[in-house]
Amino acid sequence: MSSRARALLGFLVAGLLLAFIPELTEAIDLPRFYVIFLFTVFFWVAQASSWNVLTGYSGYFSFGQGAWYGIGVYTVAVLTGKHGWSFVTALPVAGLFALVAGLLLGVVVFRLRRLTGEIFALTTLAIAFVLASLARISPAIDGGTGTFMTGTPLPSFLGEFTTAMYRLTLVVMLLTVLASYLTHDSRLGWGLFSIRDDEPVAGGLGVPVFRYKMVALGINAFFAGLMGGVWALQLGFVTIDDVFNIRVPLFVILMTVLGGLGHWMGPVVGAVIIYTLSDRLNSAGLTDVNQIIIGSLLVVLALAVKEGLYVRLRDRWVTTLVTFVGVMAITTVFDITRSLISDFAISMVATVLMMLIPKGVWDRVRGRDRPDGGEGPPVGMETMAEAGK
Amino acid sequence: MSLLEIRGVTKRFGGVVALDGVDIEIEEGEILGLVGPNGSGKSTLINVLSGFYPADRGRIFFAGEEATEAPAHHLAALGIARTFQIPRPFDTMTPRENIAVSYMFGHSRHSLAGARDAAQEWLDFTGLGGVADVGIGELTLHQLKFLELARALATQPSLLLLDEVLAGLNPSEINESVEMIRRIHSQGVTILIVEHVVRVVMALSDRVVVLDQGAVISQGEPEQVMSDPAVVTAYLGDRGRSA
Repeated sequence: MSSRARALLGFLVAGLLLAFIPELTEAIDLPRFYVIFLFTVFFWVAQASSWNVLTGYSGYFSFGQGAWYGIGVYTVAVLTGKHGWSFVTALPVAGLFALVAGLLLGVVVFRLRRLTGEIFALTTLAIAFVLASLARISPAIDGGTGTFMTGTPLPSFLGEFTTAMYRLTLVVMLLTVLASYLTHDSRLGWGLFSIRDDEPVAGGLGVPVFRYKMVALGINAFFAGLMGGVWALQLGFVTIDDVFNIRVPLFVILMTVLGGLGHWMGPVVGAVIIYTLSDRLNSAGLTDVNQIIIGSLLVVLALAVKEGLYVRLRDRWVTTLVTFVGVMAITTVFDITRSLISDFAISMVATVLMMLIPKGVWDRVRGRDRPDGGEGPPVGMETMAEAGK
Repeated sequence: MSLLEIRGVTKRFGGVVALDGVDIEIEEGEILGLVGPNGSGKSTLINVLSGFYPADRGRIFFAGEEATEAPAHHLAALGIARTFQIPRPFDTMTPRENIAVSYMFGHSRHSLAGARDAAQEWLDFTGLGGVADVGIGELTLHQLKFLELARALATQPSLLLLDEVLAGLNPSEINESVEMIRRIHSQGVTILIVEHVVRVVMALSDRVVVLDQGAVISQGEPEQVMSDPAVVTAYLGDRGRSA
């Protein structure tokens, strides 16, 4: 079986296993918030993964995530709330609107050669502000009053609200991560990596730079908008200040950088870690220091694990597995925290701490020279050799 | 028919005229040497020909096709490849991956699946087999220059633009490079070589074009061009002629 077929099978199996967790939690009598916790993780995994396709792969640093997400939220809110569309028909439109907005931005900024680096970042940031103002002054969209989503009927086959949200976010997340994986492991992905490294050179070697950047931006905007559309339901009451703020772009950046920019697994790992920590700190009543703790963690990790956490976890997979499973087993068996999510968070933090041991110390402790001498292929992304496995 | 035809190409940067109505034809199968003092417009010409920036005026034809406004990747697909004076490798990739990317895109499209193996051909050709899978930071200048060459060749070009591939190399490395350029040429690749080392240009080129202040001041057989009074003046100033 080819590596791609294996991966697709992996996605399918993961999807099927995850799909029945709501029934499982009911069967073993776990509280509903476990399901809510999980689908919020899915939301962030999808947001971060879609952002990574543009910024991680092509190197164009974007603050536009909030704009694509917001377009998705408002499309569903307006179409179902004001025009009586069903959610199922409004959702794809949410993705499409975000896609169109992304491509319109792309046509302008990618045609102007000087709009790179910080200018590109600022332009994408401005888009969200412009959209927020548009929504505020336009009664057809919001007009500043907000939109109630609580009455939106969902198709009955999805189950009751929490289960339906879980299934919807799961599907959108899987599609997003799949798109991110397929891009990473393809000609498109390598074209984007070469654009990130040196765009003019990439063009000179035959990479269609404009088209590829448009595709990357399109993938980012579409999936961010699609997940935004699903999230409109969870918000319940959609307001401009809640939707078009800096939270979404900031969080996806934190998550992806922590997990590893440029690898498709990076944002997945980063989103799980940061959201879990943030959720636990909040539920422990540490909301005020929440951001200080997560911010400090990011600084430490950025300095100690430059290649991103995912690559480090993979290189030390035995330690990862032993630490995580070991700590998880101890905390669960002795029921220390009385919460599976807290047990998970503790095991995760323990595993991350093991990753902080510097490379030099690590190799010496293990008493052998690594074949690549620790200075082998460039860090930070999977090499083509591994992609081909 | 000439492979590349440059007609009246002009390029300005602000008030500076870098290229001033340049007419050059490159015949299929030849090695054309492009020489001239610093700032004479040699690198600008290569940048225009490879689509790095458009010409302000004039037209360019490649294999009979108009290529004046074509974007860089289109020129690569037509069969034009270049190297950089200061190597510009993709530095998050290994040498093998650098070459694989240019093989995947380049003149014709190839899938990711076979690209790594295909890269071996150019790794062997340039003698980089031993450092194929290390980080870019571990390569010497000499190896980086050869990687530039390997990456350009992997696009499978019919016209190769070499921008000072020999600058910074020692004499034995220069000889090795000259040998390699001869081998590339013998495979049927047309070459435009910009070079400071006049000895090399004289030895390699079938024909030489001399640029000065953005204009062609002389062209023809190497010996004939180098004894042209206009060329001597451009290089040495007026006193060079009387000396």
